[in-house]
Amino acid sequence: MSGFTFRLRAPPPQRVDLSGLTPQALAGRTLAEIAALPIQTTRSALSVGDLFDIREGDLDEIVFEGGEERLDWVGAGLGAGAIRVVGDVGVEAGRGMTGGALTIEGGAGAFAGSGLRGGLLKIGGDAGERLGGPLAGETEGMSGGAIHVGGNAGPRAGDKMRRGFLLIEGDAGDYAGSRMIAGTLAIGGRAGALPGYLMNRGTILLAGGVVEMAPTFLDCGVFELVAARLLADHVETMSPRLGAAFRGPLRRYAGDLAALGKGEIFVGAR
Amino acid sequence: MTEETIGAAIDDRPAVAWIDGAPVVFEEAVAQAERLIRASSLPVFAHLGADVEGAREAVLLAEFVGGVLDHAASTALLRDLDPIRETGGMLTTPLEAAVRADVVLLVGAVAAPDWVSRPARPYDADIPRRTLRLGEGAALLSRLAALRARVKRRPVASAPAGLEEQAETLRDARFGVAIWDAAELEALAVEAIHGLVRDLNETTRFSTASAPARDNGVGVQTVCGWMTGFPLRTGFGRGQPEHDPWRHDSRRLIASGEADCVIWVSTFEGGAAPSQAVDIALCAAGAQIDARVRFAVARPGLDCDTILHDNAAGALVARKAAAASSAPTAAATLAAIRARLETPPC
Amino acid sequence: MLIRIVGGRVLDPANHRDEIGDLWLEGERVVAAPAHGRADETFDASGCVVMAGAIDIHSHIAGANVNTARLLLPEQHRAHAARPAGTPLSNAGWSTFETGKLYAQMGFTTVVEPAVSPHNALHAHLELADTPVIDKAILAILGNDDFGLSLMRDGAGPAAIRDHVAWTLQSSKALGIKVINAGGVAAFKDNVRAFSFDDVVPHYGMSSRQIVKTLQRAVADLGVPHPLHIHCNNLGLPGNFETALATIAAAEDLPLHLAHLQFYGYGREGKLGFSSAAPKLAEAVNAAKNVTIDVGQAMFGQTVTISSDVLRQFSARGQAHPNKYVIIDGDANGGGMLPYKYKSGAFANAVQFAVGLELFLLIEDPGQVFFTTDHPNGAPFTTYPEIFALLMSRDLRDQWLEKLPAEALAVTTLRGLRREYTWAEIAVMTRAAPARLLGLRDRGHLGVGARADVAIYRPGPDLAATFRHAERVYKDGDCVVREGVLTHYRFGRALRVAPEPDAAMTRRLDAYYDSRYGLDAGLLSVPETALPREPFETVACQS
Repeated sequence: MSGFTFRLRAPPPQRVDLSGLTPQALAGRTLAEIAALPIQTTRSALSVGDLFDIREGDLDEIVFEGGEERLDWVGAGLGAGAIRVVGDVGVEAGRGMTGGALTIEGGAGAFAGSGLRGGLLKIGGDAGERLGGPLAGETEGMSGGAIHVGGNAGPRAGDKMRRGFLLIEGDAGDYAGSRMIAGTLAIGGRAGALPGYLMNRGTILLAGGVVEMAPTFLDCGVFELVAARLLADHVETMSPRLGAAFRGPLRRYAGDLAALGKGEIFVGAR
Repeated sequence: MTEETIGAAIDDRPAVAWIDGAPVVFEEAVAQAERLIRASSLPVFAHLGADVEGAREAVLLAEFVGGVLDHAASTALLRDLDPIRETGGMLTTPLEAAVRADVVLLVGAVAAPDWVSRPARPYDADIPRRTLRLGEGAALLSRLAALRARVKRRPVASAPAGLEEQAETLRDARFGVAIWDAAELEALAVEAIHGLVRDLNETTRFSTASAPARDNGVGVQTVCGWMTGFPLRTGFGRGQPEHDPWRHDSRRLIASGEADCVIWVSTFEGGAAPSQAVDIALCAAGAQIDARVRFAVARPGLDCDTILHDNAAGALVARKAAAASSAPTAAATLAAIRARLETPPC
Repeated sequence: MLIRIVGGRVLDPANHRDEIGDLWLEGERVVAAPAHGRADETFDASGCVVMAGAIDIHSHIAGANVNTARLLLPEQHRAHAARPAGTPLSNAGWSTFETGKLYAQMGFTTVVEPAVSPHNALHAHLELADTPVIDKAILAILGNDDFGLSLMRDGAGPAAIRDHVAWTLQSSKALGIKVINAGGVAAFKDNVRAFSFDDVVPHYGMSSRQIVKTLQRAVADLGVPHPLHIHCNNLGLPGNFETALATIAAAEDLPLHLAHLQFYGYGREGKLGFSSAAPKLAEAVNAAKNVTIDVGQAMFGQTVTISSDVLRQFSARGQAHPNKYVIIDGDANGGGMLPYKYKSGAFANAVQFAVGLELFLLIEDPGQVFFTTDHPNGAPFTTYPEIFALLMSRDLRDQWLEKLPAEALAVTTLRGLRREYTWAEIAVMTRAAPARLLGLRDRGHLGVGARADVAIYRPGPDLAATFRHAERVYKDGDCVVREGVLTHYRFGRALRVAPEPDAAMTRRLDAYYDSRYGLDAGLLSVPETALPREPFETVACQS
């Protein structure tokens, strides 16, 4: 039996909330009940059945055939099982996930993986601003699990990250790892301005160089550290290409001395 | 003011309402506005330059019709709010800053308040003030970080000219105040200033007083706070208030077409006009605005009594009209629209 | 309309009434049973307890600091319920509308916001005017303002102090005066980090003791019914019961109200140096009939502390949970807002919980101890029903105590306290006594002529549920709550005192505002006509 499939019939007339379409939330519901689930975010009613053709299947994998920038909160709160989107998604994909795997073959909007606590979020295309970051008023961003972005990420990827692993194959926007509390952020391409701005602790790996480093990161020289090798091993489990990039000598910067100053940025030295 | 007196005034006084550019009686415009809102899925209240009563009625109407509330200064207001609600910070009032600040740290291009040129006088004697400015545009974030590190006597990779003197001046302050305008700074700059001030308070006293937002932004945010629990960029699309700075950004909503009825409220002298046609406009008389329904409303404090945030006092204050006019207030207009909506259609 | 509430237990200690009987309401007032005996509307209150509407004398429900706390914590009060048709915005978490609804449903009809900086009085009144159903009042803060401290330093004399207090009450439209860490907040602006009762404020040469006694005398001399309402120095610190005892002793024979005494009930006993000193405080209160206190009960859970004791809030910033805070150096007092989580497994929090209950149970006269959580500082007011239940049932207390750390209880006397509050004592503590304390003659009782604010409870096995959802609540004779649910809004009023202002003091303050701030003093005053929907109601001063 193949996955439980939602085929997008037409572009949604409004932004929609798909947080209810996870394996846990759908378990035990009939097709009719699922079709009737409300997904509107305005006062115009809209249900799952208005937007999607539903094909019943194994709930261990939910598949969205066709994506759209207005599909918000895809996989939000996912705890187990898998969700795959053949296309793009809107904001806050995988928000607050605690487990399972969310795969977006296209791009994702702002705040993808916001507050991620567990599981794996894979974005094949580009990710918007504040990847893994906190929402308004929250004191920490991603606190566990892993995010893998195949393309580029917008500004402030990994903002206030507290734990977990965030890997961007392409370039990162300005201020990657801003306000980081801990955790690991690896960037395969070029980092924008001032990575790690106001970071307290945590590790940032930059394979493709950086536009500008803040003066509050001190150059500690080039090393081939055991700790860095372990990090490279870790990176390799998700991206063999990047694992190799971090295997050579790395230049280590300590910072941000404006904040607590116990973080580090490693830049490929080859 | 009752609707009747407004409507009756049309023959011998300036028109106060138009539909598609043609003058109409107030009630007719209210009825048309009500039809436009009733037919919409996501009405958006934009600009929202209004006094406390105007903002209050906008919240009540937005709640009733599932609308979104945004303000011209929301970006700046949230830039000031975010570092506090995500990390923490220290604030003071404009009056206390003026009497007490012995060191004034101006960040960015913000205009120095008038009082900066006078000595401080927290008690019964004058104290000289020292003023310093960090204003290097693109390099501001790096400069702020370096200054904060040096205030803590930590090393930096490169020290721009004057850094040491500035760090020392800040450390020596008895009660310093940092001032900036969030409308022109990056979000992380505001965060960096708050971090600097937090560090300074480990040994001395220092606080912050950012420049007030335009068009009664602080007042409107205050009203939104007590009525909904949240600041601006709060919407009622699903009935309950949802604060979402990304989704409820009125510019984005208008540009993406998600907003299908734009209600533009701009009651202050010199308040901005929308960059494109809107559905319903409540604007000070004389404003050139392309709207399907337009009301010329009273300017708070000029044409009508008002309560709004006073930038000098740093508090909500009541002011009498300079010359009371018969123009409807934004509050009365929004209330009239709500009253019609609350009456079920026949 | 004539309303007859029939067959309930009418509990009205102010009028020595506790009997199964009827209560008649007409318009906004309680009336005598008419000779004809015919009612337009009858409510069968058999099995119910009929009391006056409850009065909360100390709850931070509105104003600049409360609103800043709302903005600080968007993640903590998302609404989940759909929009209610009859009561718009009452589903919006922590909105003024929700506050009015929840209070009304518990049978509260009057609430005092006890800490308003005079310059933010209009803001507070505007929020209170958007808090439906209940009547409200504010207390204006003095004791850290430059003008008042300068008067004292310059030896201006009691008449000038009195005139300044009268001007402040008029300008703020307040019901009374509050002093918060007298002098300590002013000292903090001068980088003082600890401040006790006999410490002297730099530049003013006044001790906290002198400031408190000066203001206490002025409030009494003006005939303001509510005595000076004091938030003592050293809030929250181990050993601070001595500060509270010193403050009580300093009151001598004049009336004084000590706010949220729980936060001052801490000794230094035990191996962690933190223990309950509630018995010592209760003994002092029992002996000082001029003193009243409210408890500020702590309950377990997430809350936020909102205080104009800026020095204390700054010192406590490391305890914020989640880790964020706002500290505001105001024109006088300012404020500090820190989220905080009371954990039942935490030693200190368990001691605080016990200290509050000990004060309730050890202070003998329910007319001397007032029911508060210092909302939201000890706990949100929504925990009141659980606290009523804890006071009225020692079995319930025993169940709670089983879950608390034994080493915490060991430094308190709570386990040994077997007292249970009666309904009549609850009625004194939450109705008769607060009305007397605030000078509200037509509230807090059910005698003929009283305001028809009535709360009817149907006691069941779950006492907390009984208090959370009153069977019926009448506000000004209008039945606003039925079977525990608010059916519609009505506007309340703002209660204040209006002592005659002195013309010379008014001129003096005009000159002061002009020279210090370059502003018209009137700009920072609350005009009589400021509230479009709610009128001010003047409470008489005693001559």
